[in-house]
Amino acid sequence: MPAEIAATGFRVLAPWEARTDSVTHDTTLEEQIRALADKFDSHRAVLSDLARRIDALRTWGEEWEDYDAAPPATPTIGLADEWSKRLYLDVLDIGRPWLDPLVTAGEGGEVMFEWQLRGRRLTIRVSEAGVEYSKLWGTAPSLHFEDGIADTRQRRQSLWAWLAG
Amino acid sequence: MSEADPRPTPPEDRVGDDERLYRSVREKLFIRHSETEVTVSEHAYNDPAKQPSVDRARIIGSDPQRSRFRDGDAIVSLIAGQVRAIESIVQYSATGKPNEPYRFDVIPRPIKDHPDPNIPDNPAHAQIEADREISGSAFERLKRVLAFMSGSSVELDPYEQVVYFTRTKKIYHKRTCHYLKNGQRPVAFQKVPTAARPCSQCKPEGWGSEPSPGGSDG
Repeated sequence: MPAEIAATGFRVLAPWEARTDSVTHDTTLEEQIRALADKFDSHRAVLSDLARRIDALRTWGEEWEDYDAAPPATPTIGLADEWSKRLYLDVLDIGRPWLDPLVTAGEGGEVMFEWQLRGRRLTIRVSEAGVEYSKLWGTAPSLHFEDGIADTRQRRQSLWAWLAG
Repeated sequence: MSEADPRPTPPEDRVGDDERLYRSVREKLFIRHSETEVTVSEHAYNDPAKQPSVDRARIIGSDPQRSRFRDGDAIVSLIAGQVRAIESIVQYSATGKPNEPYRFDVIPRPIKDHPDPNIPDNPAHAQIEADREISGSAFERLKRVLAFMSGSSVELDPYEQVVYFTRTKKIYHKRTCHYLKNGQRPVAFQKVPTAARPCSQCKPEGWGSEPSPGGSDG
């Protein structure tokens, strides 16, 4: 089933029933991802593109005359890859569509995922110290911020529910 | 380009609250999700001196193309008054008590005869500056807010070209076309009316050498 892209940019993927049919929560992350991708090409395409963009951060800043920070280290790349896959499965679990993140590297060697949608902005910062989130919404002068740790399934799902509105 | 400049701003050259400001954004720091939804990375406002540079649109004829460093850059915009309205960025003391919020201004810093020969003159150059030295964490937050504001005001996507109309607004041209003469009006290619036609002499195209309308992949 090809991923249908809604007007907002969300990808409407295979339904919740499809995931529960193919995997269980007892399997490892990689097994869940593999089972999902084997059954639905749409997931394979999204996940492989995401993994490719995270991996491409290894060369972040090369030949940039105005960038002098080191790219993310291999362990950070690995953590970001794993976290993004967990988020993807968590999004499917709550029956929400997927929105591709902007994937970048921070000057401190962290991997960042950024989304902005309908006046809400979510930033995820992955480093070897952990995964932090920042929410931003409102309009100046009434801007609102919320920061915290995004290392549990419940938190990932609540962040996504907030972003998707 | 963003060195701290202690010189006071001449009052007659104050950036007006309604002035539009352009910022060039690398393709890797921009993703278009849909026709209306864009995410601009906070890294788009990185600046070693914590004073991000912008160009004042009115000084460059409201032509976003003139703020671009590379074909693949997007151009986003801010409104000076909205930057000045940011008043929720605070720094906390060691005891956790919030200090006074930072205030931000847009200060004209035209560039002329810069000591670095690679930096050309730029009369439109301005900087977003805090009212006092800004901490690293507060600057991170400022960059996030500026990127947030920019996401709703994209002037040019990566590789998107600007075309130029005369007063008739029926035929669009390249900037260098001899038919343009005076009174040219820049328009982003995506905003060209469907009834308009390209000039048969200069043959303008809407996208650069590596077109990627619809987004980049970071």
